Amino acid sequence: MSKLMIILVTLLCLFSLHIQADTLPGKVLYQAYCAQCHGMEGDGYGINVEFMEVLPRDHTDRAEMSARTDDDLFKVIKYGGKSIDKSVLMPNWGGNFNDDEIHALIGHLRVLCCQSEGE
Amino acid sequence: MTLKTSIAVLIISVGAAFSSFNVNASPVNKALSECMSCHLVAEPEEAEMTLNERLKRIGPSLYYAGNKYQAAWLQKWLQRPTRLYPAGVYYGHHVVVTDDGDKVIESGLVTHPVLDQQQALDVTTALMKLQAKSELVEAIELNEVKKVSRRMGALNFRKFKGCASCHQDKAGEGGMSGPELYTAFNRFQQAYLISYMQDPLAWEPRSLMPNLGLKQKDVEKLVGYLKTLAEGKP
Repeated sequence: MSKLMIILVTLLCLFSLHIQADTLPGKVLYQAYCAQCHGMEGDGYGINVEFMEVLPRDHTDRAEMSARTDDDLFKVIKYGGKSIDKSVLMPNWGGNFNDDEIHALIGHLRVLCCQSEGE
Repeated sequence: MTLKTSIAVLIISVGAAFSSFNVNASPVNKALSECMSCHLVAEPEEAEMTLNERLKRIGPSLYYAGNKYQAAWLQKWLQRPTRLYPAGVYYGHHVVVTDDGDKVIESGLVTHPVLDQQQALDVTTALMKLQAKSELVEAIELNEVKKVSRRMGALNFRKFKGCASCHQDKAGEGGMSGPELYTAFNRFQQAYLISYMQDPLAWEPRSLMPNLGLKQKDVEKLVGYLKTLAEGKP
């Protein structure tokens, strides 16, 4: 019976991990929504940029990104580029993300700009 | 129940929970049986429509096809399918990072099977019966689509509204991540076009398209441009 309990607990843990896969860490959100323009590695050279007149922000640029507060980033993600007098090509994502998800994205932006791998 | 039986039952139960959708749960026309490997043909529960599920999709949802596509276009396209999503339904699976920026790897993109005339008719007939989300199209006020000059329309589409960031209004020109829109006017029903542009998340809770807060007038101008493109007007 104890073997059965161990197996049961293991399977339940696996199932719980599966559910948690949808808690959407910033990197998952970034690769789903942002990378199409900002690039899979955040360098601003996504697959959509070829015909753009304004290049998307390079999120790996430490100096540029350090000059942006978390509040700035929250605003531009939620309300779009127009809200901070930047390009309309950056749309408002407020309908797609809840506030927690936007904070998760900001966390990922800080990793992209300001942390070396493994840091 | 023996230990082995208990384990087997558990594995089957958990396996069922892991599988994304039980599309066979509701009766679906057998003409669509081949479609199910790449498309959602039965409406899932909203809770099942997660981002992970969206990113795994190979083809667009079809459970509201009868409110989305024009039957004539569908029947023709199924016999001569062209690529509608330049980078696949989720671009992330088809991108490689290069020194020259991110590129789409076309070799990995799925090609839609070609149907013969009878198959195309059968599939179109079955798809047009899939009418989930009817309330969304019924809520749309349909006005006559007014002509928009190609130049002004392009300016609006590309610069002012930023649609070209993700969509192409001319083959090979514009964004790669969204479906091409130069055939959209003939492809989609007008009410769907208006409704989706105004609120994509009402159709797909994890749509990769933002809700730009477009007013009816804004959308009608964009649809007018899509009409201009479809008719090849100057």
